[in-house]
Amino acid sequence: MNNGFGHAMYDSQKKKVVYYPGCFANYWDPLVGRSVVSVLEKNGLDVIVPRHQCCGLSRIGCGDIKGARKDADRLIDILFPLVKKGYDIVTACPSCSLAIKKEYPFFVNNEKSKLVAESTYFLSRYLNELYEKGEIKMDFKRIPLTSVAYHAPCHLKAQNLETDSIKLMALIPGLQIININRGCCGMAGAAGVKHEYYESSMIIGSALFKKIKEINAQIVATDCGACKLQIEQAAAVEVIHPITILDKAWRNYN
Amino acid sequence: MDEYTKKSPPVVLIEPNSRQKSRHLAKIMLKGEVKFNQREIKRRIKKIRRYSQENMNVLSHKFSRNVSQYKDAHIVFANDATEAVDYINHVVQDIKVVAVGKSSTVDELLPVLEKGCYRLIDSYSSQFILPDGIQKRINYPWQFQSTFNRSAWDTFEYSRSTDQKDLSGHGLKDIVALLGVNAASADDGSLFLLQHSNNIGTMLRQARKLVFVVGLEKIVENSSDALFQTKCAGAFGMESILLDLKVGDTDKEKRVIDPLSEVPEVAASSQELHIVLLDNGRTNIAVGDYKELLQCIACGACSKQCPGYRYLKEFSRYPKDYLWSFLIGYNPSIELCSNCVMCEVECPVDINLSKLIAKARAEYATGITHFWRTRLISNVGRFALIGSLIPSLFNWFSRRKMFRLLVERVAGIDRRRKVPAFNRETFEQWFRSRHV
Repeated sequence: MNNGFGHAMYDSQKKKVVYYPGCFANYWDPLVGRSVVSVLEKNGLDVIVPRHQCCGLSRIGCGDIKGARKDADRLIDILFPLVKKGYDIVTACPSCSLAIKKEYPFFVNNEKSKLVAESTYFLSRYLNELYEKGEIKMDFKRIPLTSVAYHAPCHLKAQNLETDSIKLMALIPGLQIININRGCCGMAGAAGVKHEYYESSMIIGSALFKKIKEINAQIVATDCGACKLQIEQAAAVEVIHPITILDKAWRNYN
Repeated sequence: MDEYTKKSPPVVLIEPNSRQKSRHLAKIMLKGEVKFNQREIKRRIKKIRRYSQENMNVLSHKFSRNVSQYKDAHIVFANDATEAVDYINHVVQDIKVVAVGKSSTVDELLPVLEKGCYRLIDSYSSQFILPDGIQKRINYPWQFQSTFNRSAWDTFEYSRSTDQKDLSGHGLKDIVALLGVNAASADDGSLFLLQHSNNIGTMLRQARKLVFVVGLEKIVENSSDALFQTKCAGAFGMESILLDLKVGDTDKEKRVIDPLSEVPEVAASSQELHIVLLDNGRTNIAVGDYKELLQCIACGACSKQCPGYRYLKEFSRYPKDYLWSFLIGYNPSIELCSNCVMCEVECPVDINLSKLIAKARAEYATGITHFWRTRLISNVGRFALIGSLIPSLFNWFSRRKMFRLLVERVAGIDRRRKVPAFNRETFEQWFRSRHV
């Protein structure tokens, strides 16, 4: 069966991972995807990317469960054979990870979905685990940045993953990480896009924006695409994915 | 059957054990040493709740059978809010003041109750004065950490139990107290209430007539389970109480005086005790997709990290209540939830609230804006696919004011929202081209 990854080479020595980018990284922020691939490959992992398919979480949020189930079934059909072959699935999008790990077992609830959920990892946690096992080495170089403010998205907190990206970034020498810790940014997936919630979404996030201005952050890091849009619009700072910082630290920009 | 020689079922009040309760509450929030095995507590409360959800009918029969053996307790079953209020009106008769505690079960009756010709008094909001130290921290409820791991559990103690002797008290006032219970025991008909300051204690002591509203799902097997459940509601709901106060801060008129102290005493010999068993849709919910909601212990932990909490306060006490009131029919919409899933993280009995709200939305949502919105926002994948085919054209359009206005009108996407620009090359295309 060809899932559109015909290039994959099966090297039994290498650890095999599927990188699932999610819609945001695929269409709007491909740089994140490139950084993920680059980081994983530098660590000697064999990365493949299957044909793209939306995870359907935004449909769940809009109340289109039927459509979400269809999306989920399609994605599971793509991922399941790969899991069977021994691939781990890695995603850098908190919402996609939440959908696959927490929502699929509830809305789809079959053996396939459970197996896929079990073998899906959020990127930062995955890298942290490999690092703790000593399977990858994290010899980062200094980067021009001295400090970065980190905002933990709700969907990561929901999976108990809110400290993993901080742990990873803390491995970069000379980089100070400030945990903003001011709750939700207000975008809340697709809710803040809706006309009637635009204002309330800005109010909900106001504590966060205020703090960002207070600490005068050079750059804000967050894993979530929606948070990125909201913070960029409301606080007018550059927002990047932690993995982009890691990738830079590897490439030794000095 | 020694229990039943008494005239009324025991009423147990659980509260923080301190003379200066609100100050004590603040202390626990800021520091505290005792640690508890939260997992063990959660396991037990989940077991209790699952049992009482699955055996709701059996337990409620047993409960009403046992209560009816007490000579002075009146129990009535109400199918819906109207029936319940009819009975309450019958109890109230000529009394002018009805004092209401903070309870989501009683809230279900409020729309009908407000039509009655008596004064409804919110006995809850009037009782708190917040210490300064805590006032500031309320703005950041997610920073509370878990008070649970500190000493909240220890704080809630089995405090007072009124039996027949207490019911014939002095200093009764012409008040009907309308109270929701946190738990009721099917075994001996005892009722458990939780208070954080002193409003419920005051009502229990002073009201000439007591009406307890028992939601069917609140009945558990025995009184030790009921005690445990009430303690859990107190301990897990600690932070949400503070949140509640913060939100309640805005309507100042409620907080000025304690209106109960204004009511004069009357010469009455004993209190009356009435119990209303409230169904109000519960038996329907118990057989449907949303039966999980019946496991709720009404602690309000789901509000702790809810981003939209201050907005859903308008319709409900806490996020679970938001869906509940929608299902029962007195809350018009559930559109406010953003499905951030923080409520599920906080819930001590692991109710899949966010998923259930999504489900309800799918079932009940209608309308043309909803139709287009589902096609635009929810269909990010396909929408983005089209956008990325002709990125420059799409990006040009998304910068035009007229176009944004059109999208706002048709699909309800706000025109002020900055739409991210599409890239010439998607990530997938880049990845494939790399390996050619």
